[in-house]
Amino acid sequence: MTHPQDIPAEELEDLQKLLRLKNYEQPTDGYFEDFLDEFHRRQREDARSSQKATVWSRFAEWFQDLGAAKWAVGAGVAYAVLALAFFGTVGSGSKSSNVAKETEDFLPQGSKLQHVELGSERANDPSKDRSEEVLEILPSEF
Amino acid sequence: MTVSPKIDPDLDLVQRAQGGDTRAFDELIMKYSPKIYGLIYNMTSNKDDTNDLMQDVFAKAFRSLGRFQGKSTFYTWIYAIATNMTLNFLKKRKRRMASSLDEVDSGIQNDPAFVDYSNRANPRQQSDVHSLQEKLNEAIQALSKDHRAVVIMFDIQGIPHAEISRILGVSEGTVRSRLFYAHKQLQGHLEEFRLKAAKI
Repeated sequence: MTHPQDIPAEELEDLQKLLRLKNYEQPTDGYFEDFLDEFHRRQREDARSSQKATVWSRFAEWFQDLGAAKWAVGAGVAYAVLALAFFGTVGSGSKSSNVAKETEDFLPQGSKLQHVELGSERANDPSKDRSEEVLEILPSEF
Repeated sequence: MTVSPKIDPDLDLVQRAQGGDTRAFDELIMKYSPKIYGLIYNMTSNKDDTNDLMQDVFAKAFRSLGRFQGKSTFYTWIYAIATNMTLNFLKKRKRRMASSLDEVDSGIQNDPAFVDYSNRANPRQQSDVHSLQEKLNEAIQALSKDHRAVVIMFDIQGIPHAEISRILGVSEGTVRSRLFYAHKQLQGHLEEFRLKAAKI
């Protein structure tokens, strides 16, 4: 294609020679090796973040697929969480004393449980027969 | 008449990379990153932007590699990705950022074009390298994005018209027309510089 006011060939050649000097502008030595390392690092980070996103997106997708039932499921899950939190808090303080009380109900009259701390001085006494330690948690008549 | 498709010299590497061989993709990065760097660096005139954009280009190519069907060569495909991403980036970067130019290789001092230029200017060659670098950069950045892209690919990187037309998805006539107007504009910028240099 020729244009009516084409640049003279010699001038165009000079211009192109000047432009080609831009090829001498180069990054520092080792730049492309570092670039590849950086590429690998970014790929690993992306893979990690997309794995996290995948778990969450699967859950969100499943939840959306529930349709209208999702509100019922959501309320049920919230209720279950609240119930667990409530019973977990209320029940934790009296658990051990309740167990002891229930056990005593099955013992013969007049029998009592003896409480022994695990890891106490007596338990560590080598002169004591270890079979006695086991018996100590049983009522004295046994 | 059917035109036989151009055989892609990277076919083996591409197929291996598509099969999950990440080392094959590494080889493609090492092969093409210098050229892609030249394209993006001359388009943006900023080293940090070039680095970030180049990371994005290869990441996109890596993600899209499964969809690459070999209708063009890998070289054309990766160049098209780099050009599109760079043009989009420049559209978003409305405010022109300060340029950060690379160091000039000392080989420039022996290039006949530079020797010729510096003989016309003055004997202080080192400072002239930088002034020439700045002036060339100014002239290229003054072009529109589309004109700049063809000048970089054709005049600086030596890519033929037909290949540029495939990369940009425009006709060869459009490529030639853009080059013509870009050369006219560049001639104005650099002629002024040559005259100033001759007066020193």
